[in-house]
Amino acid sequence: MSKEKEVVISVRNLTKDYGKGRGIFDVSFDVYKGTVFGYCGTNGSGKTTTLRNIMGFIKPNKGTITVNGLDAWKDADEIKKLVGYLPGEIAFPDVENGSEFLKIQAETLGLKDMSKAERIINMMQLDPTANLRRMSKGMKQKTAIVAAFMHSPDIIILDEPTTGLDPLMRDAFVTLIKEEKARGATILMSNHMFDELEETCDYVAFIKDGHLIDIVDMEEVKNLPYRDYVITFENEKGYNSVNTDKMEVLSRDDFELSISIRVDLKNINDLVMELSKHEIKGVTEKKHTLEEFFMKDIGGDKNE
Amino acid sequence: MSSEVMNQVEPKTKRKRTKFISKPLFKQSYKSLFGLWLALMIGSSLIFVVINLAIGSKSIFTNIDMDSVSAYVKDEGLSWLKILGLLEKMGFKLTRIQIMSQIDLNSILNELVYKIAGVLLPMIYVMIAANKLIAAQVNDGSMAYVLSTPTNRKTVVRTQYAFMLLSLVVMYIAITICALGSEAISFVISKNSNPDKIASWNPGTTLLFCLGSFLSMFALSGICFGASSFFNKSNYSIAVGGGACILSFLCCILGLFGNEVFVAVGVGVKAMSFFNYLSIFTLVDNTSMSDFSKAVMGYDVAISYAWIWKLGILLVIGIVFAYVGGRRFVKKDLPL
Repeated sequence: MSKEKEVVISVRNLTKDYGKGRGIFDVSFDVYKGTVFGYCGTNGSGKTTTLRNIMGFIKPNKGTITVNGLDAWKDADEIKKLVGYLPGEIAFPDVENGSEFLKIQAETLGLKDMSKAERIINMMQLDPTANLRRMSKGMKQKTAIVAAFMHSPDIIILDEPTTGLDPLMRDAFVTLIKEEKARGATILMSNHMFDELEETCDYVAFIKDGHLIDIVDMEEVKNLPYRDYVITFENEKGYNSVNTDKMEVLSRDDFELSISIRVDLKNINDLVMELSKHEIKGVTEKKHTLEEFFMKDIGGDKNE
Repeated sequence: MSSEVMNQVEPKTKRKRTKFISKPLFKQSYKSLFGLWLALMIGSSLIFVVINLAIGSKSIFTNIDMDSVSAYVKDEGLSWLKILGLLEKMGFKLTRIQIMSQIDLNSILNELVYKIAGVLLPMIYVMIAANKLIAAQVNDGSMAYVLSTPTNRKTVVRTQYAFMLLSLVVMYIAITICALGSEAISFVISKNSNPDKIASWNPGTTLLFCLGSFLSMFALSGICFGASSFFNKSNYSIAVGGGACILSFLCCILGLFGNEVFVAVGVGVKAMSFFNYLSIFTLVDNTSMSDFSKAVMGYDVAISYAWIWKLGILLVIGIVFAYVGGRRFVKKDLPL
């Protein structure tokens, strides 16, 4: 990624106070052109409120939001020319079926070429001719995904896009996001599925109780300067005599005869040399996941 | 992350004048309300046709021909005093008989047709349509799909209001045509079957009655639409909009029992006319319209203009409520 980044969505000191501590407070972040920005938080942490502010559905108490340099509240309709949106709670207009709905949306958006819509419909294995009222949650979600992506918008805002999708469709969705990113689209999505965020995002922001806790660069998560391993020994001799000078011992398990260690990348060879002196039962690498970052930031530790 | 060099992108799109109404949204409203609209339009038109064909042809003045009564009394050698005494004992005071001899049942019938029977179905349409056009879509969240397209909130309000108004206008054009047509037919029938007792037919009066009925619906549609735009919840929108409709309708019926005719024939109480102050339909002054129309047509009736300012008030009510609600919709937070 180049050093100079074009800011597409800029959120500055955004506050929307619903009273009794509910709402979002002093939230600031930027979403750069061509990147996928994940917005992660527990239920009720303020994800949807933030997205509603960006969409111009609600007016901030304080702070500013600009999308492509336009004010999210005042120029809401101008901004929508560039935006595809997937609401968190999907309710379709009072029309007969999915095709009808997509046709009306396309007409409102001034979209004539429905080839992309058809491609996504195939990708998602959706039958759009089904009655909207009788659609399952997953089918509704798929229809909404088609509506958000079909006009190839520059900016795509997605509120929990994968709820209701089966694992196969989640994969299809991840592929779709990657394709859109390759096309150059800027994507902001709220989600609490860590694996999806890890697979697709460039940045992930954590929000808790309306406050932005941290913004994680996924490059950093994937390229940490150290590795964590769990080493299990065959016997107590090795367990007790192994030299751990060039590594950090995270924890020891006297019963399992295993040691959790953290080694700098440059010292991995030394680790291998040291381990070769002992009888080793097994070595497992502990992957660093976004979830760990989240738990550390949010203050939960149940997965540690 | 925020410490990096950032370039705010210059706005890419030039500001254009927003569309006055959105065609796709209008089409969508049409699709979702057409069935209801058609059914209620046919229903209310039929009400006018049936009433006019059933009784429109008959002269329903109760004018008692005192000359023939006198002749009868004379021929039979009866005593006026004895007859009046008998009637008085039966509870018919002379004053009441005088009022009854002059009752114009047409005026009661006009009230019934143009303020109660004829407005019920259009009123139901107004209540349902107004709620469905805005509040219901905010309430269930489907408004998000309208507003996630480059459709301005003002355009949404204008489009939905234009749809409401246009559908109401077309409904009333149909009603007016049916009312005039069935009246013409019943006039021709009565002319042929009973040439002696020709009820005068004045299409101008019917046109004015239809206009009055339409404007009462215009005012109520403004209140309903205003409530629908004002509130985010369907419940509140229906409570306020529908409440105003039902209150007006109910008070119009109750107020009728305070009408001097009802009081005269002993089925009304004067105090009940108080309810007329609570009904929007009171602003439709059928008597004044009828007098105006007759005077214009050259009948010996004092010309009356009171109906004009009353209809003006209905117009203002409709516009003000719709405008206030619309303003609020443009500025409020939408839970989408």
